[in-house]
Amino acid sequence: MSKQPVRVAIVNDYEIVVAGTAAVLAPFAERVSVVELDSRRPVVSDVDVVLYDSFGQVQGSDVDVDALLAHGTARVVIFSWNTDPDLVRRSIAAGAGGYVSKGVDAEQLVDAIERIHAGEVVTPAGAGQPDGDAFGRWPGEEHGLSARESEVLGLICQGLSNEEITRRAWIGMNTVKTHIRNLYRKIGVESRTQAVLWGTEQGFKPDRSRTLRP
Amino acid sequence: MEPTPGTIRADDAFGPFLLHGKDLLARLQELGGRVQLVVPACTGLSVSLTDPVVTFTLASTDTDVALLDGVQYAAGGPCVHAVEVDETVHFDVAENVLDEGRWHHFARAAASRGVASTLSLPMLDGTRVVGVFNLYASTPDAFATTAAEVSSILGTWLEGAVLNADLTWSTREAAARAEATLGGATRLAVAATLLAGDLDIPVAAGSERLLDAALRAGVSLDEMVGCVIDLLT
Repeated sequence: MSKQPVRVAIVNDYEIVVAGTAAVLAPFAERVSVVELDSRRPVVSDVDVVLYDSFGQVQGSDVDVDALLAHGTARVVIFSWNTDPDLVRRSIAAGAGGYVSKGVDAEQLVDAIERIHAGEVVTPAGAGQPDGDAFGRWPGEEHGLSARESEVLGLICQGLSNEEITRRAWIGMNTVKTHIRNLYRKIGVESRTQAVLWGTEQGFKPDRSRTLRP
Repeated sequence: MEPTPGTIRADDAFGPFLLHGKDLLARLQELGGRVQLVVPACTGLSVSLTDPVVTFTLASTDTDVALLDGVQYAAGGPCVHAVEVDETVHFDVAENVLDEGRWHHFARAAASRGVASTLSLPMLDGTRVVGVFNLYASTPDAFATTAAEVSSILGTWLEGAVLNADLTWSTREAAARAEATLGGATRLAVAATLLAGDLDIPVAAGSERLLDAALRAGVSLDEMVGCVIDLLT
């Protein structure tokens, strides 16, 4: 009897992000079946794993694992660029079933999902931060924004101060300011209010949607 | 000249800002240095922008003040007055650049010594005023014969220059409020764009609706903005 694919829901505030991750997993449908995509709505399908993409999201002990699910006992997997060991520990302590770095390729992500579904607590192998923007899609990609710049802009569009952004994105103040400087130049703005106006017009407003797939 | 503590706080919270593609505060420090070469008595520079509505201020440190005094002594002129008055102001210099006490002493001393002259210069983008530079000097008429050169350095509209419009250095207080001002402006922009998207109206109309709603409800604009953000996110 063939093994049933792991049923997965992908959650993130941005539809483009969840759709991008789903597209990366699509070729592995015989191993992982993406059955639901949610932006700021709880998962309603009977799934085995909830893949929580951390783009622009609260992290660590601030993740409300229970709120991600309307019902059921799916294992929540944090999918993030941030592999700080303390953050990983906090996430597992908050109830996450595993933590996967966005530095992995699609096959490695599928493998991690299967292992977590089987009960293993998977965490990143090393403490190094993944570099590059290899995985999935993000708002502003077509304007040359890196994934991290996009994430910072998304948080600016939510009205967060720089201090709040350092805590949400788990990066330092100088890094935040560097990202801001770079993204301003890429999108042609010179102030935060101009960035908010541009970002909102370009789809950086968090979405509220649910897509169900058979 | 260095950014005042209020300006540093604002930049930390909601910066950086760019001015023609360059970091605004770094650019202001560069411009301030060039102005001081022309006007050694210049001890302060503020820029008040219209979008966002915010003021940033640079002021001379205690070391800079001492050096400027030294330049004046070496160059003659005002040194005669200084020698006659035999006035020396001692500052309790603190290491921490964010030490308000250090700046308070300087501001009080500057006020007591007298911000003796000021120069205001509008910044234009085409025909639109996008901000104002205000410069402050410790000697009278410091800008009377140098306004044109200063305006050239800052890239401002010389014909709109005004002398001695801010002898109380009011922009210091404005800069101290910059962090709160920027926070409010950012949240207003977020709420206005959310409301505009929800109602399919221009963002400017969204801002007007928020202001109108706050007035009608008898609440502060910040409270109304917070309510809208909570509702629409």
